[in-house]
Amino acid sequence: MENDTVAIIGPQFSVMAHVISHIANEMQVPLLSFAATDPTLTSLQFPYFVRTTQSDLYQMTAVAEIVDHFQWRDVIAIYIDDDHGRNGVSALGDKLAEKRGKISHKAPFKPGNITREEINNALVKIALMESTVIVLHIYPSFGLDVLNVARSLGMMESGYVWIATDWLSTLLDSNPSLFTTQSMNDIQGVITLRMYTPESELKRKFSSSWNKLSKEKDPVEGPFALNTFGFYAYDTVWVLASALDAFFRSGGTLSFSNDSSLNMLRGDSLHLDTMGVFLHGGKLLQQILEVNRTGLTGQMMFGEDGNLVHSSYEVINVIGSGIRRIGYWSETSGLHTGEATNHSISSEGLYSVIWPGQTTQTPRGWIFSNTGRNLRIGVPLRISYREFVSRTEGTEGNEGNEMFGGYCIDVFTAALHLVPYPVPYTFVPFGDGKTNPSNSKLLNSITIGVNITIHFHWLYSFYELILTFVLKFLLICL
Amino acid sequence: MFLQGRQDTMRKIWFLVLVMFYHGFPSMGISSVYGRPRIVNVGALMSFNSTVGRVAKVAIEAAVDDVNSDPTILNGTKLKILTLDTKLSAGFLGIVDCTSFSNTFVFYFDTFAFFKQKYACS
Repeated sequence: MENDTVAIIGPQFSVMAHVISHIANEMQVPLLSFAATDPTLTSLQFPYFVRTTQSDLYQMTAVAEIVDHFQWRDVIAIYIDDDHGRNGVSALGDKLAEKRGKISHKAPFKPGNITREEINNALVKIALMESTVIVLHIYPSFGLDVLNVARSLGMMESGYVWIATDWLSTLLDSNPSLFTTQSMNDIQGVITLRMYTPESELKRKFSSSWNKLSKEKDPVEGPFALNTFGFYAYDTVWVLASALDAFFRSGGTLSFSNDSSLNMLRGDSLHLDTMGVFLHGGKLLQQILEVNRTGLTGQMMFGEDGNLVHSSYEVINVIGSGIRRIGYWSETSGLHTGEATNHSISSEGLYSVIWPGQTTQTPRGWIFSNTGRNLRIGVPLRISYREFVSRTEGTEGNEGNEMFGGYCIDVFTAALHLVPYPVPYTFVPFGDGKTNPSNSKLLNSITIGVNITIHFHWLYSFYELILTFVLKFLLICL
Repeated sequence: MFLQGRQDTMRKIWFLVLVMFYHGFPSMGISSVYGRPRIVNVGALMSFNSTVGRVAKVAIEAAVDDVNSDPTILNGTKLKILTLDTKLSAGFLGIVDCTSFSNTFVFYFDTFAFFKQKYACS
């Protein structure tokens, strides 16, 4: 039965990998996917699925570490709501949680074609939100559209952070002509990731013969540029070949059983009777998982969780008409600047980034949103020293319209003018207005009495306010 | 129209489930190739017209050439790759697009057949 298939290379898309994995389980035919990165594919449900590329579990760990590195806490995730997008973003949520961060808003798009209007609607909502750190986990075919709409909405200005998963680096690697197009304006300052494959003689040779190869194998489209998935696809064939070699060496045979039970369905018209289950598929699968060889992508070896070992990504910043590598992430060493962590020039963290809006100043990662909460300021309704703080006569009782004045209030509002962003606030009166309220009670109500959760953001803004206030005060005194 | 398509899709999915369900127990007709076969068939699924698929197709074909011309691996056995274009669809029905048949069951037929390497669209 030399017609039977012993293994499948692919499929390319995670969504399809889920479907085909069911069939692979039945047929006991290993699937080796060079591009399906959905982390959940390596679950026990799909024993015959082998991922010969890096899992998004690690890519999302890298994203979470970048977020943590710049001390952001909340991110917004934009993705396609299918297995690939949803499960990737879910992994991101888990990894952020480990760093005490979170996804504050998820913006899913329906699978299929996305219109500019849909993108626009989603982004307008996001623009009103507090977080300005946006993770874009999407397909190469739609990604640039999203960034283009974002720019038209002013979301590519300074203050915003865009982290694109490896779809962007793949797109840029595959279309070098993009660097000279208008699209570059839409992606300035974006951070993207690329699966890291160490330099080697093997890789250099393959890359240099690529033009000729792509022209020869695909005369219509070729020659075209290479991307990282090409390396993984190439290595996938070698992994399979090594496993088959070991399989035959250990006495494995190609035995297929014809399953007559399938005839019950539609008789001969579907020819399902010709389907065979690969009886030694399990053995071949075992040989695949035991492969340990060095290929274009470095060491190809599977860990206990079924993923390739030594996961690593390059962190890339899109600048001007090109890209700049600002560091690496690896499973073992986290973020570092040198190719190998033990290299003398390598240090922890990343090189400086040029952010959207052509600024080198790290964005704060959040803004005061119109839909967010106000800064609440307790105002003691004192009966003495009213020139420092008091409620304006005649405004009491109108909740929300009460007005307050005095030296303290003037200093506060003056200080607010110095803060480089708007701070929405409300004064909350404290005390009955007939006796001086207790200052300690007021303090208590800020920290524990009233149910005010002191948000990290608020704390930070208090800190900034106080600093500004002190500076201003010093200036006045001098 | 949309609902009709959706129903068809659901019907297809259920049919697939049924196929799975009935397909549990191999009962007869075991066929084997003893020793090293001359040819080993491997399927490859990708979207030829996508950023990743276009590159992967060439890389896979190049790798197969390299493996087959390397005497140190798979001595005497050649890899034979049959590639199937899943078109640009990332979804479930990507495979359907590639068929030249219009039969409702073509998807299952085609998918199963693909495992058998009997049919494929170029």
